[in-house]
Amino acid sequence: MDIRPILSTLNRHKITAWLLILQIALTCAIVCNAVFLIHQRLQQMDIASGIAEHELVQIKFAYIGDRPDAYAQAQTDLATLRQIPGAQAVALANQLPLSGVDMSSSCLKLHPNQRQNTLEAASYYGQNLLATLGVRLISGRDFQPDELLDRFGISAARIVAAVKAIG
Amino acid sequence: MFGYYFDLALRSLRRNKVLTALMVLAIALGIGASMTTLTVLHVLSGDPLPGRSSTLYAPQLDPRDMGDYQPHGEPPDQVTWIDGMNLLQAKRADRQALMTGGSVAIQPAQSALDPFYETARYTTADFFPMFGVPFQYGHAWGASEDAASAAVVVISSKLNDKLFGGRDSSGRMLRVEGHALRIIGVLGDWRPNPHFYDLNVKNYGGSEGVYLPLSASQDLHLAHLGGASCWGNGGADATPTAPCVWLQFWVQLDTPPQAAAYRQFLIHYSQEQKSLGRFQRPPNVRLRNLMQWLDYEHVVPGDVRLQTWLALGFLLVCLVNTVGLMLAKFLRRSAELGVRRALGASRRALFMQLLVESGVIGLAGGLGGLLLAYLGLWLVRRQPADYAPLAHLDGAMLLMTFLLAVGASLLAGGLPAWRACRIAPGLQLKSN
Repeated sequence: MDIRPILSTLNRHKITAWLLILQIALTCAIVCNAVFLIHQRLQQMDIASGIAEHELVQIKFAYIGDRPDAYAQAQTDLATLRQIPGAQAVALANQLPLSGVDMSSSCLKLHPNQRQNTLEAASYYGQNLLATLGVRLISGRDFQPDELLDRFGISAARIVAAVKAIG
Repeated sequence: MFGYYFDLALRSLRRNKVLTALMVLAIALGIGASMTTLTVLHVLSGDPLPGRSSTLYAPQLDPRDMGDYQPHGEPPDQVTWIDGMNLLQAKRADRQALMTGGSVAIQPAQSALDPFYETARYTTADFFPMFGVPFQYGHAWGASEDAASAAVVVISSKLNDKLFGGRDSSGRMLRVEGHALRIIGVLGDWRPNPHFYDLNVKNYGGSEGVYLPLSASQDLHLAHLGGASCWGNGGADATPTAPCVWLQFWVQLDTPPQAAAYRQFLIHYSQEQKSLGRFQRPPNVRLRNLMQWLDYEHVVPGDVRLQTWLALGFLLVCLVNTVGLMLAKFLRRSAELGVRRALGASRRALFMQLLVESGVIGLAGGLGGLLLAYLGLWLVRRQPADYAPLAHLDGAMLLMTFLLAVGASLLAGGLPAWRACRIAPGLQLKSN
């Protein structure tokens, strides 16, 4: 195929040719940018959180007013949740990963004299939390029941219960 | 003359309906996409308190210890209880308010309504006059109620509608977390967006349901809701003695010299606190006014800006497309234009006629674009974002739609019209 006639036609209609080139270039630039952005978002959505996302149900309790027996009540609630057929594990936690703006985090340092923080990490408190979230320990061990410190100020606070169900 | 050109334009556009429809569609698509994103940007970057924002400032201090210290770093966004109280009592500004967010359980007296949680604002009295908060019923509290930790509450009109069916509820009691508080005022329609005075709660749509004195919220141990940032060994978050910043402090300074003087005061205060041993870092203060504050906090989501640029790029593509279509249309009419030239019409007159024709296309495109923008904004409102419910077209943006559409089409029509005017009339007539 000879390309010369095509080029000479384009040469005769310079404005039209340039308009077409400009249009294709602009469209290409916009589409490429948009595709790249969407790809970036999808990548963020696909980040593995390490928790059993598809098996977890989050339940929020709201107590109204002061309850002196809040801790006992929470234990009763958890026991009730545990009895639901299919519930594998139940835990009470201050927060769950990826649950939005309500985040609690702590700064970590590796040496006592360090000035800059090494990193800021989300903090999760709760009994039986690792098993419920389905988190795999790479090394070391989970807390023993007697190592847990009960500092629950549940009175009038909202707490989160995570229930792991059979997926 | 304009009327005649307008008539000519309509006739010419009617002659080739497909081409006209394509041009109108191209402009409408570009305008629809741009106006949707521009409206969202306009709504989100708007001034929450027009007329007042230039006199409102958010003072920032650096009370942290030397751990994690970096020279030239930004001070925290919020203040500690002690600093907030000190600045409040210094009364160096025209008005000043110390506040923080909360969440309280409301127990309605009516048995038909279940108890529910409502977002709250614990603040000192100047909040209302300083931010120009309108009242529907009753009034705000004053300095004496602050000092006495009075059990009073101001509620939003939305909560008043829910609890009292919109009737004047001032003087009635409201049960909050088991405590009986007396309602002294009901707000009018007040929903500043962005939620500038506390961006830890929500950037948009975060207006509270109940407002009560900060002192009373401490006495009643009401729950804090919002950001708290601690240093050192920390302590219990959001308590008066903890080394944490968790309160917002706002001042009103009516003139720039006053603002400069207040800045000096903040530096002196920091030096004084350092010599007392409370502060460890060298004085590091900021005094941003409301709009600077919103800018500093990056309130407008980066995505929204990006989408606007993409949409404007799309509009450019549509315009280039329209230029091509107009060029084809105008040059096809060389014969007609040649006759007009031969009959004595100047090039200028022809150019004007063709521009009017592109303007008409732009107007039609603007109308189509407006419909598409309404559709686009409806889609935006269905998104699960804080700001989504705010995406509405206002009068200014409506006008902007047509200006943009007509402006864009005139721009697109310029080159084809100029080309079409340059034809030699003799040649055209001979060839016919």
